[in-house]
Amino acid sequence: MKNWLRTEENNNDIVLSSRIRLARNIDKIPFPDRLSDEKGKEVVNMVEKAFYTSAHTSEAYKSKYLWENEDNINKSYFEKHLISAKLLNNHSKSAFILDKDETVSLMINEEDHLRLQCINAGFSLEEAYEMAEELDNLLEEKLAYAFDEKLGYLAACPTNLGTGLRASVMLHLPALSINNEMNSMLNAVTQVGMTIRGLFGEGSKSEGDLYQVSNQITLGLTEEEIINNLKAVVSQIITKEEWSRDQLMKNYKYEIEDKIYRALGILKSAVLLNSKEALNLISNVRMGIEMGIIKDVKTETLNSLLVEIQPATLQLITSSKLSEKDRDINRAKLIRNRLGGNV
Amino acid sequence: MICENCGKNEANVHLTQIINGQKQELNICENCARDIEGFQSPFSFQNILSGIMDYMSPAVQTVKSYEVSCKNCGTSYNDFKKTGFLGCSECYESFTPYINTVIKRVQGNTLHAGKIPQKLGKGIIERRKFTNLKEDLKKAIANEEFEKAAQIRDEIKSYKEGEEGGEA
Repeated sequence: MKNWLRTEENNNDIVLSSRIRLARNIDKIPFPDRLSDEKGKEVVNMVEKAFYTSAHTSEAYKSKYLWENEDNINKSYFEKHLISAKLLNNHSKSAFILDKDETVSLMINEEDHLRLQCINAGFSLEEAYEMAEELDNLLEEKLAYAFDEKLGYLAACPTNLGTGLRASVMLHLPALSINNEMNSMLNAVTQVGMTIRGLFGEGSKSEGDLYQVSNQITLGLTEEEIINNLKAVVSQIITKEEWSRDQLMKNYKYEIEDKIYRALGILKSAVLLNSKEALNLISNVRMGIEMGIIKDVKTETLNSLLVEIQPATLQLITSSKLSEKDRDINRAKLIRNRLGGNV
Repeated sequence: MICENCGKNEANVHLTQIINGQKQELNICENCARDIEGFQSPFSFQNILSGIMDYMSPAVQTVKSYEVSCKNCGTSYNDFKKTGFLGCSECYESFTPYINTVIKRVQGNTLHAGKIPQKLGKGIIERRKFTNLKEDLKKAIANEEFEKAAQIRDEIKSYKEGEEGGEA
């Protein structure tokens, strides 16, 4: 698997990453929200024992305990999409196991005991699922999963019952956003049991025209069916986005080019940038690259900027606590730097 | 569709209730739904769910749903109603008549079709086979098909032996 933030490959420009998440619980042990910190840490221990059983896993993976870390370090993991907001919330008893490439994250004591997440660059759900399944089988060797013949894998919330699988794809949809088609898209997608969320998943607003499409229903379908349905929906969204981009270029060529070059100009020379503005400008530049208008900026650079300009990661990079205004100054500086603008 | 309760208004609430294991479906209007205790406008997801649960609890005579709590972790059904979260894997067992309605609502399905864990699943498949054999045996005896019954008995016997051998 390839880390989506660093990959140079671009098998599909509109899709940034594909994510697979499996929810698993240990039989009879109360779910994390009903565990004391002490009991929660026992669960962490149990999972580690089941996971680090070979030289390979001990070599390629490392545990991170949220209760040991500073706030900003934990938040930065969240900004990198390695952990969820809920895991962050449970920091007094939660941990995660991370691989070297930062594509696999096994979250412990999230809403469920286990949330196994695999994120792969591009439109590649199968590869991510294969990886998740392999690790799931490894864990099952040693852990007594909560499983019911009829209800499948049991989860803290009935919305995750059955397969426990949430598959999602992150898409860049600037043309559909410009054409105000996102609402009708949301309606259509909901009708086929899918949902659209923002850059940071559940409960997050869309920023920088980035959207995550994922399955809503987890019970009564096979893993393969869930993944295939999502692929079908995403493929259609991609086709629509491409069509909208063509239309925009046909009807508003100069306006679009102007929007794109202006965005790049601002990013290369602004002195103050808040994260919302930065994300929107980055989206315009990304569209420029994807449409072949801008050639001297790499999408890879923009991908890593998505994370680097977030508050906690930015403060880690500059290794200082920053006020909001200082953040805007440093954010602008970092972006100018990365894009080779005014120093 | 016209409301099945008052027969006047357009029905826009679909109600599925399971009382003592009997499933009943109703299509009623918003006014009638409001008369049913526990329903409140506006129709948020949580309200609808709670409403259904309140509505069905008086009909289940022996147990009051509020007071049911999980033997394993102590989570009460009321806790689940409030938060939408269960306390442990055993809660599903403890709250079965009630929870199935919720699952059906949320998922549209109640039967798992996906992956079965390799190790745990083995037991499930074998157990299923064993129960089927025992049922077949009963049937065969009832039908006085003694030859067949003897065959099944042998199968069960060899199955049991195999199991014991496996454990040794």
